[in-house]
Amino acid sequence: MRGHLQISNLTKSFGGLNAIRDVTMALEPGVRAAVIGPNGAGKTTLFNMITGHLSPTAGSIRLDEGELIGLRPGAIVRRGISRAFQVASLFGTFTVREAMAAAVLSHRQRLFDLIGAFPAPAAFEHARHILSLIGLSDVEKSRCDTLSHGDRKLLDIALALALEPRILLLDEPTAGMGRDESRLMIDRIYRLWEAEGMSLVFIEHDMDIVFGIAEQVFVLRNGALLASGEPAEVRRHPQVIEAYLGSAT
Amino acid sequence: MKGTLKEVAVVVTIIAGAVIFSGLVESGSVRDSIIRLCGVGLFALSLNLLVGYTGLLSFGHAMFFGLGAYTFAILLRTTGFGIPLAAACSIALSGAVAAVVGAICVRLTHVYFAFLTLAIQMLFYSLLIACSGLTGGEQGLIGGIPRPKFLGVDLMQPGEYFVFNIAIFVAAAWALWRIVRSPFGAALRMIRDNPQRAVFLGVDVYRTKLAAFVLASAFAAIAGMLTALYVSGAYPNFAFWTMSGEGLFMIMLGGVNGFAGPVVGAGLLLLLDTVVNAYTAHRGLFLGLAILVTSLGLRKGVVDFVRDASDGRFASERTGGRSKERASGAQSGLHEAAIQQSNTEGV
Repeated sequence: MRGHLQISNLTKSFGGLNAIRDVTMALEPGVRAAVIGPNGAGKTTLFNMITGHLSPTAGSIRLDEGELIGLRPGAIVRRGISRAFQVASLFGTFTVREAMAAAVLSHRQRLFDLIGAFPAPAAFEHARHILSLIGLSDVEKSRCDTLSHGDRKLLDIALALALEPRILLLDEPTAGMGRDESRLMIDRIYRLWEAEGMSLVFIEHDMDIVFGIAEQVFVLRNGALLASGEPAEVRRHPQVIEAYLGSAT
Repeated sequence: MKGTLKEVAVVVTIIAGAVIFSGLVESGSVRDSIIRLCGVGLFALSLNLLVGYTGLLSFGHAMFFGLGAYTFAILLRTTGFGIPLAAACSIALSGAVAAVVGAICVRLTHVYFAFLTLAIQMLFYSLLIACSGLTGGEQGLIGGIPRPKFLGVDLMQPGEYFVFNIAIFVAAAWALWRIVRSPFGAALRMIRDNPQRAVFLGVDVYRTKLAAFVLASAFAAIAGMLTALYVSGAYPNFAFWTMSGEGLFMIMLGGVNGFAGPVVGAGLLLLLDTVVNAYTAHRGLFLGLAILVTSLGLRKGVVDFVRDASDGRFASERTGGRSKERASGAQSGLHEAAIQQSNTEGV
């Protein structure tokens, strides 16, 4: 399965502020990577550039040698990069399985069908498969706007998964969750990774989670890449200890 | 497949009912009211494809109602076209114009979209007035529209004309019904609920909105043609902004959450008009009061209100939480749909 992501010398300025400064990072296919850093370090900005929501001031982002910069978000999704959001972003009036079926149809480029019935059984089947994988089968008939916080986050991830991504970006999957709930969430994400084998890149604040699940850690501070490598390596990095872990542990 | 058969059965039943009805009821005024409702009801339904299903608040929808009516009337008067050919040309022209207007307008959202559609409509209205050689200017196309026989149908016969209107209305409404229940309809609702997220799921929001705009305009053109036939002419007020406003009013009155809401709203408005005009010249005053009552009193359209109320009773008889769930979703009136859209846009 391909999906090599190479980010080179990426910079993003908002007026005089450099939100991202000369960041270079490489992600091997199928890796579980974490992006950490204090608030305002540029983590979400980085995600926004990878997904085409923001265009960088300089630098390049390549997926298997294809340049992503300049492509619209929809085109990047079709290249195999999808994302979930820090605040779950759903379709309020849809039921869970309808939303999933719609995402599946979007991925199959079948949304321009004016005659067929929605949702068709074929789309449903795939939608159900993902829902059972992520553990949402029991709420599949509920409306999105009636879900609990945890279920909303799970559905947000499930929607991204419906696109069968090669790279899945998760922006703080455990934001706003208690300890147990977070653990359950991470468990499920890990199971998804095992089942689907896509690369996983997540922004996370909880260091236990980061060092428990990530194979590779990137530390951002003030928009620049402070350190990167295997968790054990990063944990020992003096600047990281000083800048981030020092205060956290 | 089974669902389609059922739908076909409903459509056929309604048309058969119209045949029987036209045979039984001699009263011309009842028939006339129903024919008029076919035109304006279809106009409101087509507008709701944008407002209710896509979250696009168009203030310029009457432009396509007028364009359909004028094109149809002019073709029938000046060429030897039969009704099917004239209708096809009118729909095609309206669709083509909508594609150009939509290509400009659907890039915008919220109030900017609303005002741009309004502005283009007023431009069109001015053209109607200015090109008096073709359109009759301020007077409109007076002097009648011919109704040539086609496919064995004679629209000069009141009974056949009545059934013709019902058949066109039901067929168009059925087509819209299928559209909102198709994958494309789901894409529209995704855009309404959360356009930002739709983009990140690979939905081509621009193309989808444009397609909805063209479709809604084509159906508005059909509504315009029915109305042109009914009044036997085409007038500038068909394309005036108040007509667009009335369409929105019908949707508000009936409700955005049920498919039939706009038609019920159109019916209520026609009824209100008939009653009010019989007693007073102050039409605006009573329409304003009706708006106040529905938006402040019911806080939703009549159809939504009745549905929620009957759901509430249903729930108290049993013990289910279903009604609560439904009610929370059905609240969104026109305003709330707009608010919802603006909330979700800033993800």
